[in-house]
Amino acid sequence: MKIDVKRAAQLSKLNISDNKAKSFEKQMNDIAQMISVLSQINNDISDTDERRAELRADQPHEQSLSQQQIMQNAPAFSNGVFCVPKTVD
Amino acid sequence: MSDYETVIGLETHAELNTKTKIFCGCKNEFGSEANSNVCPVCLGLPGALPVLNEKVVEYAVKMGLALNCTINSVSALARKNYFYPDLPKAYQISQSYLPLCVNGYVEFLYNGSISRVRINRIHIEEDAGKLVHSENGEDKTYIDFNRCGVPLIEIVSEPDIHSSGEAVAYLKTLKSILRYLDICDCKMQEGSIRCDVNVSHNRKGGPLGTRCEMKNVNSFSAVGRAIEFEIKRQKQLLADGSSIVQQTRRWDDIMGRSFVMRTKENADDYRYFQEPDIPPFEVSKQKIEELSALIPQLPNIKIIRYVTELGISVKDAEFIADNIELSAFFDECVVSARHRPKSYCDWIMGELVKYLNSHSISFGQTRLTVGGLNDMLDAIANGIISNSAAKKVFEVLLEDQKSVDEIINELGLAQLNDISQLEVIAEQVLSSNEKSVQDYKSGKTNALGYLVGQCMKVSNGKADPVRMKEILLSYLML
Amino acid sequence: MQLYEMTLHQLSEMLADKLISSKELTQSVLERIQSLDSKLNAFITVDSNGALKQAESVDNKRLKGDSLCVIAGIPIGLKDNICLKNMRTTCGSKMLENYISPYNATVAQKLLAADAVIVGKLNMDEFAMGSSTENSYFGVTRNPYDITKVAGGSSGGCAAAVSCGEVIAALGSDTGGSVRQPASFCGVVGLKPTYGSVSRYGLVAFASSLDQIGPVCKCVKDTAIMYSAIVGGDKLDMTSQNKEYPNFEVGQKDLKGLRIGLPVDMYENITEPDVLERFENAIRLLEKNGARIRRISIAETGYALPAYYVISSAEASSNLARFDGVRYGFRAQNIQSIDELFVKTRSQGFGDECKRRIMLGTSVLSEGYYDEYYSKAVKAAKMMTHNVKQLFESVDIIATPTCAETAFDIGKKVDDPVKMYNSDIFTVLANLTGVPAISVPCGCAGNGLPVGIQLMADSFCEQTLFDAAYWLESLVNAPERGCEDV
Repeated sequence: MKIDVKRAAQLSKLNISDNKAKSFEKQMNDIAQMISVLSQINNDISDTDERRAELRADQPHEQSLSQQQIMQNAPAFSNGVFCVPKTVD
Repeated sequence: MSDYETVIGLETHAELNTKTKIFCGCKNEFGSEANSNVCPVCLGLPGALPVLNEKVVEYAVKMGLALNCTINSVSALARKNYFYPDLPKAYQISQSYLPLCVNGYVEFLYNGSISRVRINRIHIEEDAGKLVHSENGEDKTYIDFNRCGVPLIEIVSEPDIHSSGEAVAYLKTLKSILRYLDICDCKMQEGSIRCDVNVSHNRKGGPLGTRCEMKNVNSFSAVGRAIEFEIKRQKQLLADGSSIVQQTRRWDDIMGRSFVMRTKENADDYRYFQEPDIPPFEVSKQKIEELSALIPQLPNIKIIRYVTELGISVKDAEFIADNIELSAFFDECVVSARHRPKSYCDWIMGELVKYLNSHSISFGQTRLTVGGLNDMLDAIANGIISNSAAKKVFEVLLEDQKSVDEIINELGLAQLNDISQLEVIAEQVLSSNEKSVQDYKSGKTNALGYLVGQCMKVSNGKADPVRMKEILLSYLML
Repeated sequence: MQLYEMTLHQLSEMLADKLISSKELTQSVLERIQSLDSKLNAFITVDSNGALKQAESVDNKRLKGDSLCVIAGIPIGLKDNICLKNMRTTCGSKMLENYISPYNATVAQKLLAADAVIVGKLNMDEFAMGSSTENSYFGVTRNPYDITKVAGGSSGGCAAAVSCGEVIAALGSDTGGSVRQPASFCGVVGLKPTYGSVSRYGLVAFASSLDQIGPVCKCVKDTAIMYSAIVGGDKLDMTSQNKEYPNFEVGQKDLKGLRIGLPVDMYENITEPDVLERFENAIRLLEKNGARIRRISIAETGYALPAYYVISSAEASSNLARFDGVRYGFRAQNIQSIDELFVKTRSQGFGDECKRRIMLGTSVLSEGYYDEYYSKAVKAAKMMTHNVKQLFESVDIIATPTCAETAFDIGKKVDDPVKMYNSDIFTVLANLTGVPAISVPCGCAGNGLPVGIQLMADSFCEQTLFDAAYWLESLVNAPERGCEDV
């Protein structure tokens, strides 16, 4: 498996500087080498998840956040809304 | 003339009207103050975990049953990963490999015949927040996360639709079914039902063409316009010898055209994988049976039955079927079989609709009963009251619990239909309206109407106008 | 002996007997932090005022005659990826350097309800990714036994703090060995519970299907007490199991006939001969005292590390995507577009190891690679779960050294991720299969650094695990409980 560092960075919204990119590429491909043994696994092996979830009742909770709680950590929040640079669809 | 055909598939999202969101106990409410219905889970705070709402699964199963789907006994959630400011976790919890409902179909009346559109799947997922772009040149976008986590079902059709008209009919059918099941309020203007459209064009009998997806289609009529535009666009390209590029386009209803959003090359890779925070969940056979029993006969089926079996017009059938209480009433009337379905229909589409509109109320708020309507129709048929008197009776039936006989007596509406009394009136009127008699005999047929009117006046409106007319004629013919 | 040197269970009795107050105990621990932590760097946040206030309030309750829990008044530390209201939860990262959680993790809530005294938040590898705590934005945590060595990771702060008495006990998190390996490096006890037995609500997720919160303590008895305090199903965590969990007690010192399996084919991974020697010594002691030792082979363990790195990176790449600068945490400056907001924030906010794992995870989930790597990793994990379950039909305990080596030099492995990943060779199996595993000190190597022995039991068999660990601890020449001089 060869890791396309550029594409991976793009999908992960990361920018790897040019000087880091080379060492990253080597490191990641060493890792890729380590994990390549997985391709030997037989596809017939089951991967079904036997657990079953317990669902919750449709009842309201008391955990709503107050505006103050939101503002405590929000980088840009005013007039009740979060603010980001204009997002073109 | 064209050896090409259009193939359309629709992906419809409907917001479920549960009390709380899909993965947390925040209220599922439209119109609250921005960011007032959020918690660590739906805001995507570090360490928060989703907990699935059982009502969401129930509602989705009901829709699946209504669309004749197979309900998977084990179903699982999956993460759809992408970055967007309205998506707090940068993944949407949806379903991929094991959706809740598969392989269904829906039938509806379109253009005089029954259309059948297969349903590929119905799955559950969470909605994202709302973006508002600033208008005043500030280059900012504002985000309200109240809608984040609102439960959605996504209904994916097979590409079995062949025209914009059929697409709109399909959507209207889905909407009426959702309303009947009472799982979605279907307010397109509030965004509780949304649609993405896929259109492709291919040679008749040939393989499917490349499909293009259109987003931001915000009303049923816009769906029609968007499809028409896309058909034209694809036709033009094919005529020019160009090929269709698979892409996603954004529909602009104001400009009446669509614009490319992204092509396959720069499309997102969603990297779906099973949601590790939520184990697979089961829908038992017993649960499916319980839910099945709660599903009434559906509106699309009613419309087909009304038109093909009862001879009701399409427009009237659609109107009646659209309202669950009204159609239940109509069905009961038809079952009573005391009068023709068309008679019931006429009174519903005429006087009833007029009343509901002028009083701004719904059918459920009236006191009209099947027995009452039948008794009234009996009275008309037996000549006890005239049609116009019946309208007065009908109004009382809508408002009160009185019997038809009571109403007729109280309002003194009983028609005069005793032949001898009517003959007396006829003779009286004929003798005092010589000129009209002469007019009639000389060919002016509307003089008869005048004479009937005079008889009605003399009888204080009580004479049975149909019989009155017959009697006058018999005299005039002499 | 100083108060900070004593065990939780000893101190709990003394508090109950009113021989000491929680305030004194807390002061003892705070002074210890004051004198050591500038050297060790085990803490990211210390809340002296809050801790003392809490200690006083517990003392008052006790004076009033309120009946209190075993851990009431005991100073405890939390790894900094466990959310606690009104205190920073940084996850060892610039991304959350100033983040204050508006809610408590379920385990934190339980500790507070039991009147424990939470002293502060402990250092860790950024977002729990690492085996040395060298990946912390706040600097490395040094090993109390030798400050040129790492304390281990990612719960390095927990292990170091417990080891030298900066806290009496701690809660860390373990995804591939992050509680057990640092416990082994620092000469203390660390438990990774059965997956699903402790709520993850409020644990900042790294790999959702592998993470578990686990106690780091001075001895097995303390570990059982801490585990009892946090165990239980939680309606806020769908992966937690609603079972009847007993109060875990230890006492049996004689487990004649206990069947212990040794996966000898894994021993080739041990790089330091002293580690093997200490391990085999411990096993011999057990055998001499009646344990039935047998050689076993855990099939297909060659897939364990690759499967672990694929699954954990894949889930991490998704779990860390929420750090985008929009609603909380670090946001880059001078951003002109939404894409810049995402890219600059994440590029500046995350360290290199996080970025590597995120990109690895993104790659293995990508179209074209999913079937070959992610899907097969999941199959491998299921296979190993099945194999291990079968083995537990013929043995009660599987024993291995916790690590292939003792604590390594700070800076030695930083540039070689694969070498770093190999540290986890013995520990990842328990995370992949969900079974519980505990690391118990079993002496020191010739270099003076602690060696740990890892015991694993079948899922939900923590009682068996505690019994075996307690027995082992009583037989082995354990190093001084923790380290006195640093």
